Amino acid sequence: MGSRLDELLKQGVIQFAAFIPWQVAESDISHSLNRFLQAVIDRRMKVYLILSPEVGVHYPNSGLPKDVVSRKENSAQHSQFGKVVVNLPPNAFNLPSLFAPDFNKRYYSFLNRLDGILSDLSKTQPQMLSSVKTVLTGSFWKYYRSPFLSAHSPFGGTCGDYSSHAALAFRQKTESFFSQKEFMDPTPVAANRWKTRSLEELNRRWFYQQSEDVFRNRSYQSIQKKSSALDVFEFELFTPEADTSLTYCNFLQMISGGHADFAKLSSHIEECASRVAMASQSVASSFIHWTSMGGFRMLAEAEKQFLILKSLLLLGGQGGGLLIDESEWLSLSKNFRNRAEALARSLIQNELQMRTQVHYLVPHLWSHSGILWEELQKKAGPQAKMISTLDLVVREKFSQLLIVDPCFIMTREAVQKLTAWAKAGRVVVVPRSQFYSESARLELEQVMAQTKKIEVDLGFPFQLHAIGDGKLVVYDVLDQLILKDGPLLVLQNFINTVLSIAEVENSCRLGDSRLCQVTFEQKNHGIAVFVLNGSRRQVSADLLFKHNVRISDLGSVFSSQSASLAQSPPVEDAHPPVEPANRFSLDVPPFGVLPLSIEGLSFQELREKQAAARISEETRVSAQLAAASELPGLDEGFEELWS
Amino acid sequence: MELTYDWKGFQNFFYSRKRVANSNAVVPIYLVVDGRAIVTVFSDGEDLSDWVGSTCDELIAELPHREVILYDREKVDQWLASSVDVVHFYDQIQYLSQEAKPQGMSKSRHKNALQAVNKHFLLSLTRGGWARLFPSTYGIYIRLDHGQGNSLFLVFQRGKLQTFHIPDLSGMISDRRKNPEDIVKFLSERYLMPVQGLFLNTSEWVEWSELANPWPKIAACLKRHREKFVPFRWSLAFLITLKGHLGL
Repeated sequence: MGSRLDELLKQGVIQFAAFIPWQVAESDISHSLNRFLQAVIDRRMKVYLILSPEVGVHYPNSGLPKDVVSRKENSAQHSQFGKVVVNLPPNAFNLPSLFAPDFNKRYYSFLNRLDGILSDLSKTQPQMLSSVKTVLTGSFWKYYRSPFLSAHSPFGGTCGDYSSHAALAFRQKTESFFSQKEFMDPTPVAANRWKTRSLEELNRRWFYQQSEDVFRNRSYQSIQKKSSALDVFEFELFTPEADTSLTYCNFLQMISGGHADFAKLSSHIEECASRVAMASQSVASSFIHWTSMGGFRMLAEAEKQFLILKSLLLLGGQGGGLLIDESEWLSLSKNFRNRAEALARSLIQNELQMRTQVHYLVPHLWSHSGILWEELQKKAGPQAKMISTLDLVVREKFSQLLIVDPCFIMTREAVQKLTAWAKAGRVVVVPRSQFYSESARLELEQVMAQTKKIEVDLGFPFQLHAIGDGKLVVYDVLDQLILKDGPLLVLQNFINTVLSIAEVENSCRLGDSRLCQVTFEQKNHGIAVFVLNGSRRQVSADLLFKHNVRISDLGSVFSSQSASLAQSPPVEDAHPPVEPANRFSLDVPPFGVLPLSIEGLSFQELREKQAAARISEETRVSAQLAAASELPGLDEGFEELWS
Repeated sequence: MELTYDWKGFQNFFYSRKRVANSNAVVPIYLVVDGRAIVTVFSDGEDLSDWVGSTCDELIAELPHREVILYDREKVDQWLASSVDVVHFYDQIQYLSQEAKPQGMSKSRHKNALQAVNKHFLLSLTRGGWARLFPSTYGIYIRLDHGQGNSLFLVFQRGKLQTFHIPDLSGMISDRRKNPEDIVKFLSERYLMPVQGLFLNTSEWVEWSELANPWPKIAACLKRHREKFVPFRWSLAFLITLKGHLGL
C-alpha cells in the first residue's frame, strides 16, 4: 500500500480519489482503511474517499456485498421490467434496487460505520482533516434505464426502478404527495385527478427525483453524524463505460472482439454535461469516470486524449472534472498530461469560465425529456443545462432563460419563484398545461392579468408578458409535446424566438456539423473557444462571427495537436493574432482540440445588465425580509408596495 | 489487499490489444435488431450510429459488400441476464460468445467474423483437450522482467479459470522474492496446489500473445531458456514440444 503511494508521489501525484468498496469496509477486520488513511497522512497526500455505491469499482459486484446483490428480490427493474445489468469487469451483475429495505438498512449502517471510523481518526489525527475528504455521489439512480429505450438516445425512456419495492414506495408517496393542501383545492376530490393511471408515468418521474433527493440527504446526514468536521463533497459521477445506453454496444464489442465505440462514448459526455443535479447542500459537481476496465482502455491514444479533453472542458468548466485510473493517466504522454493539467488549472483558477445561459426545468433529470429539450440543446449547445429543481436556477447568476418542460407539475410556490426570478431581467418560459394545481393556475392567471401581453402564433401559439425587468412566455402545450415528438420546424422556430427574446446567442458558429465548440469567458478579456473534432478525418470548416474579431492561438493554456489555423487567405504562422475578420478557416485534425482566443467580443454590457437586475432582485428580497422581521404580519401585498 | 478477480492485472496479460487509429481494415457490421429495426449498430473503428432507427434491410442494401451479423434484441436481453450467474468477466465473455448465436447474417462467412473473439494461447490451452492432462487444480504464476513488470497468479480448477490476482508476496523474506524457485514454492505451499511459474520478458510475452500459433516460439524458448519455466517439468516440456513442432 505504502509503496504504491510512494510510486504515485514519485510521478507527481499528490491527490487522488479512491472508492471504498462496501463489501471490504464491512468486513475490514485488519483495519486496512485506517492503515491506508494513515499512509496517506504520513505522505502528506490528499485523498477523496468515494463512499456511495457506484459502478466501475475494481471489485466484484462493484464493491457491493455479495449477499445483497445475489438476492433476487433486491434487484432493480427498468421500465420494461428487465433486470438492470451492469456490464463491466470484474463481473457483470444486476443492479440492486435502492428501494429494497434490505439494501438500505445495510447501506446506512455501512455509512454510520465509516462515519465512526473517520470521526475516531480525526480525533486522534487532527491533521487528517486536511488530508482526507469524503465524497458522496448520486449512486445508481441514473442507471435504472432500459437498454432498448436508451440505445438510440442515452437518456431515452423513463429512468426508474420498477421493482416491487419501488412500486410500494411509489404508491405510498403518491398518496402522501397529493394529499397536500395544494392539490386538494378547491375540494379534496380534486386530488384524485392527479392519481389517474394516465398520469402514472408523469408521477413516477417526480417520484424518482424526490427519492433520489431523499437518498442524497440521508446519505449526507449519515456521514456527518460524528465526523462533522470532515469535508463532504457531493458529486454526480458518470461512468459511460457502464452506462445502460451502451449495454448492447458492449455486448457486440465482446462478441466481435472489437474495441469500444468511440463515437458513443464521446456523445455520452455531452449528455452527462448537459444535466446538472442538485445535491443535499449545493450543486452536485459532475465528474466523468474513465475506468481502466472497460472500452476506454482499448482506445487509441488520440481517442483517449480527445475524450479526456472533452470531459475536462465540458464538466471541468462547470466545477466538475474527470476521474481516471492512475495507470491510464500515466500511460499518456508527459506533454499531453502537462497540457491537460494546465487546462485544469485554468478552470480551477477561473481563468476560463463557462457561463450557463439557459436552463431547462424537468421533473426528472435522467428520463427522456422530449423534443423541446432536444431542439434547445441543438441550438444552444453546452450553454443549455437541464435541471430538476428550481432552487438550482435561483442560485445561478448568469442564466438568462428558463424553459419549463410541459411535464413539470406546477405548484403555487413554483409559479411565485419563477415570476420573481423573471422580474430580475430574465425570461421564463412556462407551459399552459393541465399539470397546474388550482392555486398555481390562479397565481399564473393573476400574474398574466396584471401584465401587458403580446399574442404570437407562428404555428406554436404563445403569449409574451412583460414582467418587472424580465419577460414571461406562456406557451400552449400541444399534445405531441407531452413525452412524444412534436412538429419539428414549428418547435425550432419557437426555440429560436425565445432564445432571441432572452438575448441568448452563440458568440460564434461553425460551418461544419462534425465540429463542436465549447466557449469560455476569459478572466481578463475576450473569450476562449475550443473547437473539437471527434471524427477520424481532418475537418476544414469556417468559424463565423457576427462582427470582426481578432483571433489567436491559445497555446499558452493548451496547445493543440498540430492543428493549423488560418484566415482566408491562409497564413503560415498560427501563433500571432491575425487581422480582424468575421470569418476564419480552420483545419482541425482528427480527434483534435483547437484552442482559440477571441478578442473583440464584449460581454460587458450584458454582464452589467445582469448584475443590475440581480442587485435589484437581491435588494427587493432583503427589503422584504427586513420588513417582515420588523413588522410582524406584513406579508400580503408587499410586492405591490415595493414595486 | 489481494483481489480475487484482479481484472486490471488480468487484462494487462490477456487483453492488451489497443486500437490502431485510422485502421482501414473492413470489418463486419454487428447489429442488435428489434424485428427488422436497428437498435444498436457496431463496427470496430466506425461510427455507424446514423443507422439506428432504420431497418437492417436498408443497411444491407446500402452496404452490400459488407458482412452484416444480426442479433435479436430479446435474445440479447436473455443472454445478458443469464450471464450474471457466471462468476467473473472472463467466463461471462466466454459464456456469451458460446451462447450468442446470430439470428441472421447477410453473408455465410459469419464463422470467420465470430472467430475474432479474443483467444489467448494460454487460456485456450487450459480450456482445450490438453486440460485433461493437467491436475484438477493448479496455478500458473507469470512474472515479467524479473519482477519489474507485471505479475499475475491464475488458479484453474477442472479446466476453468477460478481466480486471477497479483499475489501478495510480502510474507516472503525480501531476498527470496527474487528467486523464481522460492516464489513458486511459496505460492504452492500457500495455495496448496501445484504451481507452474513462467518468468519471462515483456517482449516475449507480447510477441507470443499476438501470434496465432506461438507454440513453435515457446518450444524454442523452452529449449534455450529452461530457467524461464519453473519448476522445469519434463512432462510439460514434452507437451510444449509436441505442440510446437507437430502442432498437436
